[in-house]
Amino acid sequence: MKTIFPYSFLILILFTGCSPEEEITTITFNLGRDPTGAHYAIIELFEETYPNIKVQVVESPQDASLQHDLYVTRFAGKDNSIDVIALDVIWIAEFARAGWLLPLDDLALTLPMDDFLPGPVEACTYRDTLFAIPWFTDAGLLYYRRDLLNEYGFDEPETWNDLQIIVDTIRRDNPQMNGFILQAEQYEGLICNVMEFIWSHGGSVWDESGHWRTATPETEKAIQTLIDFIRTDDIIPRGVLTYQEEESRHIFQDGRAIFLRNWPYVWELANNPATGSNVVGNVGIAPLPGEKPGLHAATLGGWNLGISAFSDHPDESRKLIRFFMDYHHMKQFSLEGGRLPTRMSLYKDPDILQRSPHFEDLFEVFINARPRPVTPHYSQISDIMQVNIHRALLGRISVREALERIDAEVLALFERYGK
Amino acid sequence: MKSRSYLPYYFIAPAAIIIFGIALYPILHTFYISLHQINLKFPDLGMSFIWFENYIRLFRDVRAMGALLNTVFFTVSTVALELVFGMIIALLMDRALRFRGILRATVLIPWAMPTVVAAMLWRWMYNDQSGIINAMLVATGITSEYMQFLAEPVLAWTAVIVTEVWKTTPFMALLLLAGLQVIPREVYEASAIDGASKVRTFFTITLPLIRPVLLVALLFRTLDAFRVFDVIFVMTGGGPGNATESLSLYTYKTMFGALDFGYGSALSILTFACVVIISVFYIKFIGTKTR
Repeated sequence: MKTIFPYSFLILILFTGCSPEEEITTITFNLGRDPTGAHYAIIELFEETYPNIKVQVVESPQDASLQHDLYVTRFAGKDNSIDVIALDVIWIAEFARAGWLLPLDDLALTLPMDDFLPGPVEACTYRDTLFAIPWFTDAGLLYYRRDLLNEYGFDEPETWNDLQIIVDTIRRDNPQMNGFILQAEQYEGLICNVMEFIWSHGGSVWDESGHWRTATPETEKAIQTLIDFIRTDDIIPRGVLTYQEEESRHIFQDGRAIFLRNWPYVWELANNPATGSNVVGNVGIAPLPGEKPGLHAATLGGWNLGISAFSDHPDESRKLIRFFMDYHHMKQFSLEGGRLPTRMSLYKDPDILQRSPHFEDLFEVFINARPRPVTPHYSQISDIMQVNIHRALLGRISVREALERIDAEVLALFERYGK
Repeated sequence: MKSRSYLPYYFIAPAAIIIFGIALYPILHTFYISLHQINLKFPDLGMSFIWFENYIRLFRDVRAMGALLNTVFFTVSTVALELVFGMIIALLMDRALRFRGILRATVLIPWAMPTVVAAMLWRWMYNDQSGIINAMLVATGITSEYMQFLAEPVLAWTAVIVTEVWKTTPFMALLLLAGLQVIPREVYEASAIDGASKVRTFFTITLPLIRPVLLVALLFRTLDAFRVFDVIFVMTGGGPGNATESLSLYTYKTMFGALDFGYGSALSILTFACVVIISVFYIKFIGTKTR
């Protein structure tokens, strides 16, 4: 139906001798359901600017894993009804390797790529080619109870040790309070949290020569710290083994935790009395602590725009992406939806800072946010890590054992399909 | 020249074609794919025929075997509990003369609820800080402090099984009730006159007479429980530490997360084989004993 439409116009043009500009192309914009709906205004503007292009928005479920499975099935069937697609940072290498995305290096030439945050650009790059353009970003942050820290005369924790001291001191008077809450259910969020522990201890999953290796002293120490926090030091409640983002947010905004690790979306909800928050005005944000001062780490999240390799309208799709990436349009999108822009200059924009004053402090976090392993095997690697690390957190296997199993399973995967 | 003896085949042809098309063909095709190495993430590597390598990998895969054991454990425990509770509820409903309609409708509520919604509900009820189950246990003094139900393998299993039993017992109860209601009352009267005890009546009259219905109910529930996915997917995602991963969940992760269709198909065939064995077991060993 969608392909007949333009042809019927073409025939009409042939018979009437109209200028070809009147041919209307419809492209689809595929994204997960966005409750803010801020993209609609930009699309309206786009259609005004390019009257020959109509954009049809196709929304899929909000849950990123469900979206992934949906897109994968459609791509595997070479479905040509996807044109522009919003991609999670962790899918890009996988989809690019499969040949489902168009290389966008040509589009990048028309954009000031230096102005884009480096982490998202790295996540969009596979084998030195750009396959998507960062649209909005996300990064792990530390939320804290400013009132409590002030009362006890503490500054933001710079190291994990500081955090432990603060928790121990405050909990001496408030034993019912939770110290630090994060997300450690067996799911994707566990890996986001674990990567932050690994990086903030100077560890990595790749060694210097780019080989996969997690069984290193740094990584072992990082995960051991997390386990000790949960199992022996009573810093993190054991219930985190069943928490995703929302469970942890509720405990924090009910006023039952001193520290919370979560994504930036919590800021507006925790400071809005309408959400039933008990901590309005008492929330502080900071980069996550490190093993040593200055060794902060944040896992990168966020969404990026790419074009399906099976699209019949790659040129029109490029125009739409280019339009979304324009300074003013990205600004408008951010002002309306509260999303974190990917263009660095927007973090100095007075209008943006007036709406979201916390962006100024967060800039340091975003510019240093790191992508999870960029590899086409990511979803399997994540699954392998989830299973083994969760076992270690339960105390079923030692950290060493968990890391050695991860390495063995990941190497077997590389062997089967190539790295 | 149309012979008359062909006529019946024309009549069954549409049904045969449909059964082949929607039941047999997909299974055969899955089996065919399971003999290949094929990963949709790597279209350039193509599809190579590897005989039974996926099956060899399967029997050496600790995770697949663990998932199989988990599934068997889940199936046996939930179906056994559903049978006991379903039978009790059915016997009570069979006796109740007043409010029978309302009673039956009420009992059906858990069954009518979509599994994902029910699982989400229970997930919040089991929450370790604000869950109602913890609040009730502490208020009644059964436990002294809040427990992390979904964070311990044994407790997580218990939680998942309780949810599933709560959800599907009504189905069992309703099927058994239908069986109970066709038993003629005279038979009970006769046994009462002969002085048989209630227990004796149940085991020598009720149970043998509802055996066909019981078989169907058990078969349905066993097959359904063996393919369990949604309750576990929502409540634990297979955790903690993969302790509650079922065969279907592992197959799903392999097929749609890893896109390893060759190995995923082998896992599907394993599920299919188990389901066939269960069906044959029920029909052969329980079904034929009914005189």
